[in-house]
Amino acid sequence: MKLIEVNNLTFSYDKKVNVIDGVSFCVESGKYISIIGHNGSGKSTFAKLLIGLLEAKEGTIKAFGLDMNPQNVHEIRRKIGIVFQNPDNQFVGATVRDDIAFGLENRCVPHEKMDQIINEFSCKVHMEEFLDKEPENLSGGQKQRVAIAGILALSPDVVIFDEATSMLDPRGKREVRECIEEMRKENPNLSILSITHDLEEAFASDEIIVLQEGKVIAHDKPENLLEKPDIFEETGLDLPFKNKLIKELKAQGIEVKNSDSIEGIVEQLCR
Amino acid sequence: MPIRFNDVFYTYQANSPFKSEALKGVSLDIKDGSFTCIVGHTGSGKSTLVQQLNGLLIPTSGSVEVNNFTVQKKHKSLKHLHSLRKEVGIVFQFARYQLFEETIEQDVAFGPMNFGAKKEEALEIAHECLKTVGIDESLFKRSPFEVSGGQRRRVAIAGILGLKPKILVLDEPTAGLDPKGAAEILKLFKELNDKGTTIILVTHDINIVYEYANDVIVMNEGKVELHCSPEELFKEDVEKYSLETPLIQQTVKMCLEKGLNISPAKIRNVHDLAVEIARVKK
Amino acid sequence: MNAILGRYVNHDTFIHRMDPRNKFFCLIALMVAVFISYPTYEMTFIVGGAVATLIIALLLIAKVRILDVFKSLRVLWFFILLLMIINVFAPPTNAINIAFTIGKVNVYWEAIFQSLKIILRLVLMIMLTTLLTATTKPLDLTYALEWYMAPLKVIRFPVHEVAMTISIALRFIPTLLDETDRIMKAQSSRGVDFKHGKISSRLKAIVSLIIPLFISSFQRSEELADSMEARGYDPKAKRTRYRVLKFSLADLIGFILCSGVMAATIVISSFKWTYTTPHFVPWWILSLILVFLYMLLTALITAVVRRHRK
Repeated sequence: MKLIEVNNLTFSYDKKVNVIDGVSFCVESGKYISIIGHNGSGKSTFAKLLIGLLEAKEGTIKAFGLDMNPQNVHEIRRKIGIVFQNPDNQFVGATVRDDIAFGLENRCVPHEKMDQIINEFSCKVHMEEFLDKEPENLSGGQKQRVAIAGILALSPDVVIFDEATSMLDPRGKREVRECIEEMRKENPNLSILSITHDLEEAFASDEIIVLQEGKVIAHDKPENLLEKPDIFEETGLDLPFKNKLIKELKAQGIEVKNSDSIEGIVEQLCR
Repeated sequence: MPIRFNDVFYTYQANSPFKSEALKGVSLDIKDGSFTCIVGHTGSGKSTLVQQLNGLLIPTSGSVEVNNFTVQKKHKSLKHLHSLRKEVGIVFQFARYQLFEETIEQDVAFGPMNFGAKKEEALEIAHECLKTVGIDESLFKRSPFEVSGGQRRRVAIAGILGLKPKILVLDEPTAGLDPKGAAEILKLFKELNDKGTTIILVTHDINIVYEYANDVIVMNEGKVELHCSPEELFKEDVEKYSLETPLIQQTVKMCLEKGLNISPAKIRNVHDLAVEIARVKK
Repeated sequence: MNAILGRYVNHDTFIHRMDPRNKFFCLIALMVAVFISYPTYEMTFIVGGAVATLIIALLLIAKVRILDVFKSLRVLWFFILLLMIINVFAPPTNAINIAFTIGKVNVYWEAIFQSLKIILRLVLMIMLTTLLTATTKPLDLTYALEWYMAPLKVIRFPVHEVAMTISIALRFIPTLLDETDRIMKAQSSRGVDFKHGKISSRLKAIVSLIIPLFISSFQRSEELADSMEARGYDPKAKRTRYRVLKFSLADLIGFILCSGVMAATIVISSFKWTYTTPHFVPWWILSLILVFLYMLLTALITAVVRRHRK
């Protein structure tokens, strides 16, 4: 089922250069899609367009059967959650509890139900011990998990991660990635859109969209994209280690077939 | 002269109930001209350690010797430390936030002017440094807030390079950068290192250590857990230091185990690895 | 601000548990009691002393460190000194009793008394506000403020938005302090000296701190606004509340006590009472006994309340 359909979307900040240029694709229920591209390719602008924080110059966005326009945007936002890059700049509440409650207050969730929801979703992100902690006492990874809890508490159909791990240390990155995995297991119908320039993350998804200068230059399953490694060169992204190795070996005249693991490749070399 | 830490202790907010010991007896030497990476989990004391180098923080006890300067509690007067800040340049993690002047060239000239350079001289230095970091001349007279985040980061680095420091300290310079941007910046530091600047790089990225460093300091809970060359580090099981094992190292190990006689010393990155494998297979 | 008004200290006392709206009211009521004027010195001493006793007892019940209150007074010592000098050298017109003489200037008892009265009121006022801020989280104060401002909605005053702005500002104070520290370190590394140097370079130093702080604050506000909007925030629309303020028995007791004290002091001030000294007991011995009795009373009240709590 198609949840979001984007058609020929074009956007520019200064009316001269199109930051997003004729992008079309759709998000289906239960899919994990990564959008990758170098810094400045338009990725974050795209996220803001999807959630209606920016208005497109041309083209349409249709979400959950509604056209994206100022009348429908509030209804659409009920079903899309977005986690931004900076852990501090999306933490509104004085404590973890208050921050998760913020979203519930906005949606007019009855007061009596709030505590139960807060407890449930803080457990899902393993932050139940930190409910009364203030943001200054939390790490980046913890703050991002609180953001995720706050969004899941509103039962969205789509969750967008806008470079949500790029400001985190390795531990924080791992915590958020694990959160996403658990989210998917618990709710197979949830669609996830992950905007990133971390290829290891992207290769864990179902589909990858490659953006360059506002245009979609590829949209395919990760395995298929690896057959065309030049795409990554163009966009200034790094191939995952395994594939880089294959490429370099090829340049040295050694042909190896792609394998599930590095070990598989090494074994091929030893024969 | 090497940089020397003599039994340095540092406690934040020592006189309050909120005190926390960040450094617990650090003693080490960093050689001139080395490319040293400092690694360790968040809170291990890495940032605290490097801030002792230019006197932003003064040891609670112990001393730090840098070139002809000694940083210790007795000598807290700023005049003494002012000149030290010209020798040791620190570029912080979100350095793009330090930009404030009207134009990019003025901002980079700000540093040299604080150390006595006249305006024209400072601007010349600024132009030179901006070119070194890869900022095009056409941007010199633009406002720092008009350019992208990545470019602002470079301007910030240029601002410190303008001081012509003998020792350059960088705190997570590649955080948040895409791989291409990161590679460019690291290449710049390598070039500076080749020309004689001591580079001290605080990072979480173990791959940087593998590819660029010739000296590694592993911090853990305020102490130096290990201080050695990357070769020695990677002989060990780095997971016990809460570090990730670089994939390249895993691969090298696998190759050696399966009988491929590659020599790890020649391998710094994937390209080197492929070349070595090719050499061995012939 | 921290120097003058005590920061919130987390204890579980009677006063901590009171509703912040009620605490505001009690603060005002007790302030009135402190500032009431009485016609005679004796009344000022006795009634004023009783009010002071009550306030000190409350401070002790709330586990506020009295020493900290006096520390914050240090900030005002200059002002106090000035006050004393003015009052001593420009005495009230009905001054007749001379205490002592410095050179050619007469220092009157009335003047000394007047100064002491003012200083005492100042001290009590600071104690009261410290009592409030030490026992109430800043956010709760904001909720109380929001409740008091509610009638202003009639004239379309943006009560909710103001309260939300204040609570977000409070949440970001530690973050901004961290940011300031970071920027200062970055600029110090470029040779900026924030503490020494001529005025012009220090001004430049401050500019190098303020501009980045402003820029990052603007960016922060934008990102925060985006995030809030994406989470469905609409100040004009209906919203439910998570934190709800509730009155309790503790509030009733506090309310009755403080309004009672306020009423009592107002009523008493309309009487006039003078103490006619029995000749064999000088006034100053009586005063000392009274002071001692007050201290005893303070200790008693405090002990009773604390015991009752357990």
